[in-house]
Amino acid sequence: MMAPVSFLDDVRAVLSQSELVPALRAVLFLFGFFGALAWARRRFGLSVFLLALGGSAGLCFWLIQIDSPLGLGVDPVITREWSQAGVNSAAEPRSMGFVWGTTAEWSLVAALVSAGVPLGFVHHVPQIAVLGGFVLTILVPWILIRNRARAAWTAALLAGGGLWPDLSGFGALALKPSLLGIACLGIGLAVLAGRSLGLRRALRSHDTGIAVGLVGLAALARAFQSGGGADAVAWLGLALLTLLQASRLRTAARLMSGSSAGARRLESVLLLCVFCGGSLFWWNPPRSLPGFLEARDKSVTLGKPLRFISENTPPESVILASPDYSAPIAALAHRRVLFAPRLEDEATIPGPPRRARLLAQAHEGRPTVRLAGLFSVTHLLLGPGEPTPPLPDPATEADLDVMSLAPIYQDAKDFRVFRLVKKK
Amino acid sequence: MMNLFGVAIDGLDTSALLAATRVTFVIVTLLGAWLARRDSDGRSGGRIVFWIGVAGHSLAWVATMFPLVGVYGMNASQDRENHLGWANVVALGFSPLHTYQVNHLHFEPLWPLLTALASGFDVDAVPRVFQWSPLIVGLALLVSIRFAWTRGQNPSETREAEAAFAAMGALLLVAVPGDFAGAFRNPWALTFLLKPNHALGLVLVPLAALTLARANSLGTRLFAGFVLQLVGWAFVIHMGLFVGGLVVFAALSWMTKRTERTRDLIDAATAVGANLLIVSPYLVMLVVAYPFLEGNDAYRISFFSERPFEGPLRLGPLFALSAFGAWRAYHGEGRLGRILASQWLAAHVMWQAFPLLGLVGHAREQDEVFYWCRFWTGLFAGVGVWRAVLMTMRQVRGGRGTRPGTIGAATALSLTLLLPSLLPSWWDPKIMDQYHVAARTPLPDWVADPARFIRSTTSREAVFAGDRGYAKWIAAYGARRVLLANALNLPNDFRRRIEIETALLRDGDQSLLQEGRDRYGIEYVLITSNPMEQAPDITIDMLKERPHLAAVYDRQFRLARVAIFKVIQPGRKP
Repeated sequence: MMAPVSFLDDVRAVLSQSELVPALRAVLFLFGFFGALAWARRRFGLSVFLLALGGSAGLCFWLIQIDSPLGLGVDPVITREWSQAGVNSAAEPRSMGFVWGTTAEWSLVAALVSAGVPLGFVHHVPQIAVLGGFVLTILVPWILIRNRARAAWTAALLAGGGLWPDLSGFGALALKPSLLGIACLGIGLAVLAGRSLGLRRALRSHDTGIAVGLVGLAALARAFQSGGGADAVAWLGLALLTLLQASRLRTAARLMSGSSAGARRLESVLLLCVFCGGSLFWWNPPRSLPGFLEARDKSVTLGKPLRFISENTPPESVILASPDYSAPIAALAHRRVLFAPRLEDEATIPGPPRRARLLAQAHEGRPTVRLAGLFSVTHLLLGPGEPTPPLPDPATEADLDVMSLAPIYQDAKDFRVFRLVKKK
Repeated sequence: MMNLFGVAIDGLDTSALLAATRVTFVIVTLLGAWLARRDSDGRSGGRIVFWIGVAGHSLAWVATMFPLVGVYGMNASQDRENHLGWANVVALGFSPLHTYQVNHLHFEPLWPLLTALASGFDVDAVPRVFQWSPLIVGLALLVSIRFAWTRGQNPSETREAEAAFAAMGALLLVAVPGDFAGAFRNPWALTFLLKPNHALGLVLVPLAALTLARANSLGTRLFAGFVLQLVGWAFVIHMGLFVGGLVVFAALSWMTKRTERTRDLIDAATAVGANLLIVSPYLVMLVVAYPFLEGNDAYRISFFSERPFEGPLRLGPLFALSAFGAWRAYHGEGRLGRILASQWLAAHVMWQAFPLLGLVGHAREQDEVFYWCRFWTGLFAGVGVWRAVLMTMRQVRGGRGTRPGTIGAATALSLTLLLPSLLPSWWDPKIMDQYHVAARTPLPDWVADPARFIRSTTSREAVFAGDRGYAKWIAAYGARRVLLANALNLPNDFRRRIEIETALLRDGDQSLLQEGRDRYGIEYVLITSNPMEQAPDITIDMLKERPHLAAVYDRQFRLARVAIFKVIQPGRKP
């Protein structure tokens, strides 16, 4: 069981070297070149296949490097989603939020875990969504367009990243995998609508207006909000436009070249430019995808105490720790915590002053039974820089209202775990 | 906090401002497309496209500059701070031929002179001029390209619109959103915002091409050479690249056996010769003082880098369209089209030479050649899109014959199709521009406070020695000259300067101190608690013991202690 993981780690270590990026782009260029060449020689299917293969290779190069949950600890919303998913996978009771005393938040990843999908698999949902989105962009033209050559042309353009340079929804899909579900729903509706003759006629008669509307929608989406979901909306709008109008480009190429062989040459040049100028070719997640670096370079130091907590504490345990550790504990050690990862979220949690008082008491080495019981706290995690609680004061040693802290874990990086024990 | 426009920006919602500028541009462009569709003669459509270019550049400029508390590039760009220092010393009345290192000859004297003139030789107005100049130079580029294109091409109904698309493309199609993650970052920001002096070269290039296209006698050829040398004074690399393009122009003319090939060769050779003759003193200065013929490891790049793809292919389909635009321009009616299309080809050929140059350590100024490539690609992408759309519409609407409204419809459709790629519709400097982010923070106190002291209490002739790392800030924010600065090339007499500097810092020879005063005008020494590269053992307290120095400023800041000493002339009391 360990061997594949180790192999994958080795692969990640190799791929994460920045010197490999030019090599990746050289390989992608070759895929683009041979894809374009195949198109010029009327091998339309082969062309789409090569471009799709190149695109998949380009995506996999980056996606395989993602190790820990993407966006955890970087984006507040995604951090909450992963935390909830982690708690849903193993903690008891199942219905509660990852912060003790709150209600569970719905998200795709949390719902999948609740439905019984293994958490290890769910951690790869961002990668699956991106690849799924890519496959979908290639398949949709084949589903919606009857003419095979037109479908291949549209699929080839979309596989390259579309006609507008440097616009892609892959980053948004990775951070918000549920967008793929929305896209699937939209495509399903489009397929159903495509069966309506009246609608097809209406589309044809208003095609210019629709094209302008889609460009305007894409431009406005990106104008209102830069990055994230807006990019996905813009990408979808322009992909839809490509889907509707790709055949016009072929017509234009034929009109401009005057012969079908010349048109194919023009088309193949355009395909090469689309593929090599597209979002896939130049996608650079370490610089453009928030959380990618954090998900690639996982923290080994924090991993050990989290694994200890996961393996050595009961599922109903609630871990008392500073808010900095809340998300990692919930997402990776699968235990509930007492504090939200961000101070801004404290307002949604009942009894913040009492929670803070309990943490202060624990730091002083004298958590009270009443407060610990109120929040069902069972363990305390301290990180580097946090002082170890003093030994019990002889004056309160016999005080049954005060719990004692039993050390159960300590490592070289100064992570410590204590169990809160009632005195007898 | 106030920005350089004098508006308080505390609590400014920058994200909302940026979104507002982008949305405004999108709406303006869609509205423009709506209005342009009725154009029948190509004129009003051309004007609309031109004004959309004006609006786009202005909005992107506002989005970037308005939230800044200082000059764009402050806190992050040594190049920009150097320029500020150069302009300051010229605004103080010193020679534009010198940098802020006293008596040090300058490579780019035109820009500091223009900036000083624009500021009315008021050093306090220089930062405002720096803030406005990217807007003015960008708009000047629009005017210049449109002027050259409409004057240089034969009259036709498409000329106006084509000129406007060329101008808009050269300004707003030069970048894509992901450029910020690339090696050379966003060409629009780095050319027009960070280095408007280089962009000035771009403004002059179409005019140089126009004068050459019209040359038909010795006088007009020499005039073309004169305009070309102006490009050299603005930015010598653009002149070199343009001359490279003229070589391609003449070569293509001979290769394709054009009837006017001899004339092309004579015109280009005369203009280049005249240009080199006029600009030769500058070139000699450059050869002597700037060792660009020596290979260097810093300019070595792997043969297997991404360079070949970055220049042409990063713009995707726009590159293909720019190739189409250049092809059509070359085979069009005018000579100007051939000159400009040759520039497009030469730019890409020169860019592809970098992996080879990199092998021998000569891949210098890659960024400038990259921006040059993008400039021509953007210009012809604008033309190419419009030409392709017009051609297709004419074919669809019944052969090559014109039909009323076809030009207007093509203009409207081209504008709409280009909209998602036009920079102002996606520009987000908060994410995409490190210089914008850096300049939103005030200068650190250990730079700002001493700079205020220097400006307010020292004479404009005062020259500073001491910390060479700090020297650029003395010039940029204190507006005074220095003896030596790490941010600039060493002057030819650097050995003597170092001897004088050593004498100042180490209680040296009186005659050297006297020479420092008489030859270089050194009046002050500034050092900080950070060890100086050339004298790491010297401390502020040690300098306080020197009999020839008198402390006039000494303050401890959170990050450093800064002290300024007045140099006491021999035989005088402090």
